Amino acid sequence: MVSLESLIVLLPLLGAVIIGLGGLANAAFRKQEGLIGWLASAMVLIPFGIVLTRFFGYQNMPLSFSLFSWMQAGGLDISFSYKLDDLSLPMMLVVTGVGALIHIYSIGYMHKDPGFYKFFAYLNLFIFAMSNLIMADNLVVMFLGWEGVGLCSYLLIGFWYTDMIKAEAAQKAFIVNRIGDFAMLVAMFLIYQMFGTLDFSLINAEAANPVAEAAGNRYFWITLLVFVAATGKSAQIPLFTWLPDAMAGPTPVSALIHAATMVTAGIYLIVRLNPLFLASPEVLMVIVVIAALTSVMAALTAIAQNDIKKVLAYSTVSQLGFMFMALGAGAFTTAIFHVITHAFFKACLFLGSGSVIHAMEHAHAAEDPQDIRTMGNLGKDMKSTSLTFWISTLAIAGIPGLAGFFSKDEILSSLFFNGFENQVYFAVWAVGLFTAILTAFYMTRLAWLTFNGKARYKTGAHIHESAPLMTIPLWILAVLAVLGGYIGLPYLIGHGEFHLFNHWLGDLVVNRDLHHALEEHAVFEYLLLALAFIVSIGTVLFARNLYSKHDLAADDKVKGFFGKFYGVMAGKFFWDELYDTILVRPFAWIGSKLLRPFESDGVDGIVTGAGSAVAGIGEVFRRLQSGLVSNYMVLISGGVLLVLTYLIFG
Amino acid sequence: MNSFPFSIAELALSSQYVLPLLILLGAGLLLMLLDAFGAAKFLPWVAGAAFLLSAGVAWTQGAPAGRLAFFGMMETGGIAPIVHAFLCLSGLLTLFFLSDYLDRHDRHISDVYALLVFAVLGMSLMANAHDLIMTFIGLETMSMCLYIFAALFKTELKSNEAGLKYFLLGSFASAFLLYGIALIYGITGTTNFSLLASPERIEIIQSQQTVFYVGAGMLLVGLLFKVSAFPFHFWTPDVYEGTPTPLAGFMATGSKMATFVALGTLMHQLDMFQNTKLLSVVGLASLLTMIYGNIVASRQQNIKRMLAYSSIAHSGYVLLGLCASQSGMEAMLFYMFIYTLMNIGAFGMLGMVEHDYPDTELENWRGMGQKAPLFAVAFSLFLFSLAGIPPLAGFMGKYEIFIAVIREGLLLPAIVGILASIVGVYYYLRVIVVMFFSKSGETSALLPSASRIPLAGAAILVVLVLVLGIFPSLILNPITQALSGLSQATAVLP
Amino acid sequence: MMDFFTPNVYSYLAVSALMFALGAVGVMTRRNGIVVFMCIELMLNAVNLALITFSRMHNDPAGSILVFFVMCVAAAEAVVGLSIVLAIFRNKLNIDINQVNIFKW
Repeated sequence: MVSLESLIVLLPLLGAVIIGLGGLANAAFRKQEGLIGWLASAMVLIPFGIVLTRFFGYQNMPLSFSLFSWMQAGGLDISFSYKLDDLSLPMMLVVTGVGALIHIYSIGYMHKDPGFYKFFAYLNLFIFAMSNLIMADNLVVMFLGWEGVGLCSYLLIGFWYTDMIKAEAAQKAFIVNRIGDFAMLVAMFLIYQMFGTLDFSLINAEAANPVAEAAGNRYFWITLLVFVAATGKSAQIPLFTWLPDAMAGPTPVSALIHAATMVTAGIYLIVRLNPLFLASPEVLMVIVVIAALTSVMAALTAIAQNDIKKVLAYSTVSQLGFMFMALGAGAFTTAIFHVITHAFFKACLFLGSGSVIHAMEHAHAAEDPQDIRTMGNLGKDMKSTSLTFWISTLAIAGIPGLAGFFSKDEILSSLFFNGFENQVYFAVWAVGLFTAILTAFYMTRLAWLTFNGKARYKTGAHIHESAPLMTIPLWILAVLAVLGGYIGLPYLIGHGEFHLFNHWLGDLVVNRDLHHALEEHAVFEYLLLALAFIVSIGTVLFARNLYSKHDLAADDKVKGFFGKFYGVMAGKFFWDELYDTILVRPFAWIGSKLLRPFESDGVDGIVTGAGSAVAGIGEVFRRLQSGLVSNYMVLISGGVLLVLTYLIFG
Repeated sequence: MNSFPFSIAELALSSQYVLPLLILLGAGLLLMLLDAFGAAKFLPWVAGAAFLLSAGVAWTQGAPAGRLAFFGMMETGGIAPIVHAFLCLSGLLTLFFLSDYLDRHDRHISDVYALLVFAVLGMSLMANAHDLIMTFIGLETMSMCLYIFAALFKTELKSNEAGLKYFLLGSFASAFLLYGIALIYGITGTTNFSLLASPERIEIIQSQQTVFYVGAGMLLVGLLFKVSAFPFHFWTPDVYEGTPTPLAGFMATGSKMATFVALGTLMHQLDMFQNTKLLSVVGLASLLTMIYGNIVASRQQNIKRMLAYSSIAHSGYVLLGLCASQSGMEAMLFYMFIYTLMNIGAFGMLGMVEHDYPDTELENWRGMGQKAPLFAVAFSLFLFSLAGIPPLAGFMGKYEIFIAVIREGLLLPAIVGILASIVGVYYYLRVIVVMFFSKSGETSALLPSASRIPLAGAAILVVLVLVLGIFPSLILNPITQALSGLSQATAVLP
Repeated sequence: MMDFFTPNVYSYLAVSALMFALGAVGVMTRRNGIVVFMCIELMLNAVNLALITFSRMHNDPAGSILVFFVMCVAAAEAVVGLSIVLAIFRNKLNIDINQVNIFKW
């Protein structure tokens, strides 16, 4: 029964259980850092190996395997069944591959942390949940993974929980994700009601040949709800606020969960259900607009941030926006393409930032080891980190020849060619282009202020390059950030003949057909490509010159350029304040002013966000419970009267 | 008109089927005797053995529905054996935590074991009744024991208060239930389920709509009170808070399961209760219950009281499931079984530390994660399961309920239910946050309990909650099998 | 057609309903624990009256049998209830049910 493939799922779980229980039960085991770290890494490396062999031996026949039948209830048979197909194979390669690198990196990064064993147990658990999410053959198992990754993210954000801010960030992430989960559940139920199954392949087969025209409207709600769920997990407006706060977790976690894998789950899910989405163009329009807004907003915010991880976090939100733009344009394969390239360079950037923070902390070089204003010229002492960080920066900026160029160009061109069908896409394309310029700018700023220019940290602090355990994963990711794009060459070259990735996914994922527009307006393809060349190289050079000339003072120039608007950017567009004002405060006000003040607010200090809103209503309802037996008797009699009145007269 | 010919053979046959009940009855009497002869030490073991034996015998006696005993008063086939076994299990699990709790509080009240056995007996009588008279007797047998549980610590004002409130409100509600039974008897001339289901009775009812509605409405109210559905729930938080903690867990699980089964039997077996109006009363009560329970629970500073409100909310989910015909019954039983595990676990573990962290105030639990990591992890597991986070058993329970409801096309109620359960996540999480994410200075013992028995109980429950989340069919399949015979079971009278 | 002053099924039922309602009102309004309990007993006896009436009406013994059970239960309830009230009286020296409210909200 246990096939080799099932090890992909089982090994990470096994690792989590062994490490978690071992650490809980035995204090001596917790000290065995080498053993724990390498055991955990092996539990991801072996699955990576298996996925790799399956990838190269792939015969266009999805490999299905099933662990056991989970439950059978009234004709609905849900089993732990998985599928390795065109879509899940490359995703699994990224998850296990990048995951393994980050495991190894963490052995160095988490060295001497008292929660070492816990960290690796959670990390393995995360890989397990993520594999469930990706390889699931039905929505229930997918949802299991969906919840699981959320839980792991929660545990890992609050990992250093002695710090109250981190606990709060964890809480926020969890609650925001629950809103998305709610949408997901309702979507699942709608799907079940409509298709009578929760099997991906059956749903998609059904959706691909729509029998009834009236179905269009029903798809609308399903797809909209799936998208809402995706905005929660993949940090889009209006549910993105948790992601920047989630940077409170250890940096390898930010790299693995909040950049490379978990946050792309929403995109993956939409691609998985692509026939449904193709049949609901209205929702695709909603997606593309929201994505464009998120993307440009996050990019503008990133320019005005000084915390190295915050910049990267907003950059992630912005890049996720790009992926959603691709989805909105019906270019599903392109979105996955960008997911993959983004996983390489963003993981590399985060791990690089981790290496920097690590070094800053160890040298006690500044008050806040994450503030780029107190860095500068770190490249002198940290050659590998600096070099890999720069490579990835250029990749994300879209410098031709590197990974980000191919995927981002493809997104922009798919938006542009959709414009011939629907003018809105031209506007979105323009926003996308503008965002690409911003991206190149803030990333160059970040890299320059960190690694080049004048040293602004405390004089006398000795910065050291991180250990090879940390730099080797950096180099591997940097190489991938260079080469990763060549799996998808532009349409221009041989009319898409050499777009290996599209060919790979082609059987399973159907994009909106743009052949017509592409052939008719082929000249634009050249123009777009030229534009991409000029814009990316131009912006990077411009930003480099600006910051090398003025160093930190260049920020004032930027401030001058944006004028008053800079305050909005630095204030992160005031989303948190907005939610606080429209959701949290009114209820708190009702609770505290209209009724007696709360007795003790000690515990509630921890609670933030949507939680307080509910608590406010609860305060109102709670007063019904007066504690007096006579009142209860009256209320019960009233209930009886109501019931009888309804039954007799209703 | 319905005369029951007396026959010894008949009696002997039916006593074989009611053996599980007789075991409990005998054990209860034995426990009282042993207590009188000063063998107090053995009481929990005897009670535990009786539960195990009775459950075991019941489990092996499976039969299609319609095997009646006591001249048509009791159902012993169909789901009856399974329900009986589940109820015994809830008593057995309570025992794990009970004696340790009493010892810690220095109250050696040995009557409690006999009462526990009698309470389970009453629950089983009510749940598997095939006659409204039996429903009433079972309900009162159970309630009487529960009143005493609530008032167990007679020198403590809190316990007095819990007892008084439960007693007064409970008997008030039974009066309604009884009046409902009387009215239904008045128009149909019978209290037997088989006869009530007969076509001529249904015709009579249709000609007497108003009286029937009053009767059925009052009957419903009496049962809804016991499962603490809104707006008949007011006793729940006050009573649970004052009741000794493990017994509060028992109240929240066993008595509710029994009442739900009785309610489900009425609603699904008797055609006259398959009435849109009655169903919509239950449905509406269910929605209000889960909304109210979840929202108010989120405002509690006391863990025990929070769990009480959460138990109201859980009743709401189950009631919703009951609205959904046959598959709802299955989902209900499954849910209540899982709820029994996780709730007795949560209440039991709460009781384990109540002595060291008095008043179960959330504030006192700060830093529990550092002081007693294993305890905190296990307790969090129960909370996560109550919140319905996969892959724990609680998720499977909710899933079954909501799928059953959606299959009936009740999409909107299901959505309200899911929304309410998401509010639920918030307050369970709050406890976990306080335990793990807030500081406290000292770190001390790995586990706060000295006695091994409650620890063993907690460990068993943790394993069950984990295993049933992944292999729900272990319990789901027997339930489905037992239920599948139910449809052809408009029974033959002896 | 119905002679108001000759007792028939309906008059018994009317008395029963009246007793039940009186009991319920008493439960809601009285403060003394024992009086509240007596009102509940009144409600139970109202049910008994109805049951006997129906039993006679249908010429069926089941109703009368249920009455015996109800009386048994009421007796048992009296034992439990009075001892709870007694325990409260020992601790507080009064039995006003509305002064028993440590638990609220």
